[in-house]
Amino acid sequence: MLRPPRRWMCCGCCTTRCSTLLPSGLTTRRVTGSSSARGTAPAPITRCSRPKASCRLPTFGGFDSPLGYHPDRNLVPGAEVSSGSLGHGLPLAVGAALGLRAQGIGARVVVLVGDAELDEGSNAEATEFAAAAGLSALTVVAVDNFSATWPWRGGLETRFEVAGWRAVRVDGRDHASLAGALARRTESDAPNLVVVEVEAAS
Amino acid sequence: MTGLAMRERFAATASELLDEDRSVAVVLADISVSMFAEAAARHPDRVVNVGIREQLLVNVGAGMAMTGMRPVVHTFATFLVERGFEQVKLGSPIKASVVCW
Repeated sequence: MLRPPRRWMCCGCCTTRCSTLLPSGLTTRRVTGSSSARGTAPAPITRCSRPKASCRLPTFGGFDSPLGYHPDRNLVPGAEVSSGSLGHGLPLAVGAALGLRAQGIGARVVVLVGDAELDEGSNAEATEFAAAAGLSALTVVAVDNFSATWPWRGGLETRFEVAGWRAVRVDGRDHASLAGALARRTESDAPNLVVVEVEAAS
Repeated sequence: MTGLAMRERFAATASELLDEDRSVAVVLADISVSMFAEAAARHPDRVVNVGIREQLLVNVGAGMAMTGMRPVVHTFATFLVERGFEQVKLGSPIKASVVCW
């Protein structure tokens, strides 16, 4: 498996935290009738969504490369939203979940965010509304590497749970726990939060 | 086309579009909600009021458009530009309509 240098995962807007995984973009693709929405860094996005585009990986980050440090929806096939600005993935995923529900499509929407990205106030707007709207098809995967300058007291899950979400925290290196958490579907209307804990940035 | 104020005409027209086209949705942020009460009763999944959340208003419209719908996002111009400008900027390539005053 390709393991890019961690600096590749860095959001350019916070250069003091080069090891921070801060995906804020959102991509969707249909897989056997389900829709997954993922924010991610460009290397895995290209790897996962367009295997044929992997041949461009050696150009990654180059001056003329379509693969910049953030996926550009106009340049990278499969990237439906450009990343870079934080706090857009979750509210966009809320809209996607509403759109799918309105069309009677029972697909899940999964969006990947980082713990520091959740500081952006736009996420608060989305968090409150998603639970109020009963978007049980929505799952937020929050990578918690303890990179927020002012961490939320009680952890990420407390604020989501107060808003009405179901939350679980798993070890990011434990694939079995991850699979179990992601496969879980709520029987209630509550949207799902999976906090994926990884080691703190050093 | 006379006799209705501009915003009333918009609400009436958008409500007709909701009846005619299943891909149309209207996204509101507590502005003009009462004007869409009847349409919301007929199309509860396609008339969405997110509350006083202008950033979410725009991104919800963009997210719905990503699933193939044609949402109409509506609020006052000052709220749209001054509270949700980055959402408008980034969401503009996505097929959503913004109607504001």
